[in-house]
Amino acid sequence: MPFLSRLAGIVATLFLLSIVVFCLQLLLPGDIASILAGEDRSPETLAAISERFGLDQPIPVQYVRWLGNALQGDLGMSMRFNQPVSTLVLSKLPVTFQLATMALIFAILIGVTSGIIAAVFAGTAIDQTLGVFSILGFSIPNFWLGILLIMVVSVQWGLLPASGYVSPFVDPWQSFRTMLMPAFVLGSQLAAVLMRHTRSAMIEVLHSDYVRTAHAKGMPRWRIIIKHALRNALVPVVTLGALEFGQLLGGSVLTEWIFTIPGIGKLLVDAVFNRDYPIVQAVVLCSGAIYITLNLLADIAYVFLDPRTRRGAT
Amino acid sequence: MDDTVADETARGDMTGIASEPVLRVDGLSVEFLTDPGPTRVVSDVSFAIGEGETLSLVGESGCGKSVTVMAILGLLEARRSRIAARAVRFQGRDLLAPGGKALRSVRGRGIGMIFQEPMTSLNPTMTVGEQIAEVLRFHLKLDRKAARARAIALLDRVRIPRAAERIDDYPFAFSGGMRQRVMIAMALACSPALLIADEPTTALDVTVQAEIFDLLRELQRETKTALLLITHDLGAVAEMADEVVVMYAGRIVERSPIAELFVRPEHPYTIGLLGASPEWQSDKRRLTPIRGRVPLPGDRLDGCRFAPRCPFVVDRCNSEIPPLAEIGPLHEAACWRAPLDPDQP
Ligand SMILES: Nc1ncnc2c1ncn2[C@@H]1O[C@H](COP(=O)(O)OP(=O)(O)OP(=O)(O)O)[C@@H](O)[C@H]1O
Ligand SMILES: [Mg+2]
Repeated sequence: MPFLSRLAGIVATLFLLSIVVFCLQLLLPGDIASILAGEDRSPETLAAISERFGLDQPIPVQYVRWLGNALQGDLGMSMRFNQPVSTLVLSKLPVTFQLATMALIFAILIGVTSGIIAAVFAGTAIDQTLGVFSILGFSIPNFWLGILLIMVVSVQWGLLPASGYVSPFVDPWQSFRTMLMPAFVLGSQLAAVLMRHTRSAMIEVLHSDYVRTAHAKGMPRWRIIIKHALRNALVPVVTLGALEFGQLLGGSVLTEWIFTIPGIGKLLVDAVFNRDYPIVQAVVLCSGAIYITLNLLADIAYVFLDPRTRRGAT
Repeated sequence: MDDTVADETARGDMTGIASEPVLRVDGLSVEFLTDPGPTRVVSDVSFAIGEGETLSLVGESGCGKSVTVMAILGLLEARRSRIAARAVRFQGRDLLAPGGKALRSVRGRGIGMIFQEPMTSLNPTMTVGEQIAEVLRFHLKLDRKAARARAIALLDRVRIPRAAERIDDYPFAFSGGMRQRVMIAMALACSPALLIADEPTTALDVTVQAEIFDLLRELQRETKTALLLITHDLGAVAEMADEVVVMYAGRIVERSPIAELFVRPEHPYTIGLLGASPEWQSDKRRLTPIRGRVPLPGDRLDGCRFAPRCPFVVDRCNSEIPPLAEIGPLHEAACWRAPLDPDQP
């Protein structure tokens, strides 16, 4: 039953989102028909366009038609590229996804590992040093870090490419190299956040009664840290990480722009500048759907990690 | 500590126990490094437990019973506490040896421990079977299958119904009493020579308390494990203990064989404790419940720490700490007025 109510919640959220997205185009300045018409703004052309795009219909009718199409995967035509929006979005999605996934992996590797170390050595110089890095990681703006890395690593040292994109299916190694800096930049905030959360969760767990029990059982220290403490500490951290993946997708807009990566973010920015509304709508709608899906996945991960919640879920 | 060597010769005879004790604690003191400065919560505590014996540690809440046993097992946070002792030896091994190697080989293997809080002492993300099997696999090097079979047998032995099914359950599916049984199974998994039970029933319902004590008694009879039992339950002490150590504000105030203690308690605090306990009415020397409160570890007191509450107090009590002195066979009390004459308070 809780699952069904969750599902109903998701459907309702998506429905609301679709209304908001649809209304975006109504709020925008200028008459859509005249934008579409371009140079030729004769009444005949405008009427023809209105009729073709259904702009002469009452707004609720327009919405229903738009939603019906959207549900069938038809999000309209890009005004600029004259291609179906869905094709465009789908072709850019993997790029952004790769970037965000790599950023997430970096953030987890760096954040969780340094969080564990900081907790195990809490109060020592090691902990304090890591704390400084976490503050830096959190407060340095992405564009600044990105530009700094490009200047030092790419321009001065010539180690990594400064921009562009290579598909991992074409050249996995080159793809990894190109994505390395952007993913690091995109994941830096999250790494800092995860580090602080892992640290405090670990410190709490390391002081728990069951960790004391594990010591009394004679278990070795590192086994206790990994097997007994980490799993319990990770329950809240993983949930946070998965939720933040949505933020990473959002944050990729700027990062893609800095490193000229042809992903969703760049598509969105270009579309906004060119008033290519169908693309803007599609990107917002997709982001919303992805965000909600991630929430669901976070809950599933939570259930997987914490046996206490398993009962209620099934 | 320069007295470790001298101590070697004193071993055995100071405790008065014939056989080589399983655990011998000599002059244990514990300080916590708190904000205003170090606070001593355990001072100069010595006791020994012989093979298969039961020693009971009693005393009011906060007198340092848990800290004493945690210090023995090295479970206190090293950066916040300081432990000093002439010796802490388990089967001849020095548990305070630097590096903690002896300690780690003894924990869970030679000494099993049950804690005061059954609800939080088990790991919520591991099944009880995994938690028991872990000890068996690590210490006895059993393989997965053998460890599991043994874990089921252990659960069965601590009277958990349908042990073979319950083994894959997580702790949340067990009641407090059942969790404490799981803890007992875990502590006894490697057939330790000593079981330390720190108030194993305090957090449980009264009916469950009796069951747990029954179980402990029965298991002890079967396994011949020595038992260090911390409890407030003087009824259980009377039934289970061979020897009783009474602590007050971090110090031992009286040590006595069980038969003596209830008949002839010598320290005014012990007398008060027996009088205050509903389980035991000592008719000869009935005192009203002990007045006043336990001094806090930080409180400055020059003499006997019980003096402010003691009905037998004399001038000397406020200036000099009474040493633990023999007042009968195997019976010691730390009181200037022992042996007491109850008719002259
Ligand atoms: N980590 C710690 N830091 C500072 N003081 C502590 C710490 N742990 C215990 N104490 C203090 O040490 C004293 C003894 O505590 P302990 O837990 O040993 O009492 P106890 O005899 O086990 O009492 P109870 O019957 O309530 O379990 C108490 O005054 C307590 O406040
Ligand atoms: Mg205690």
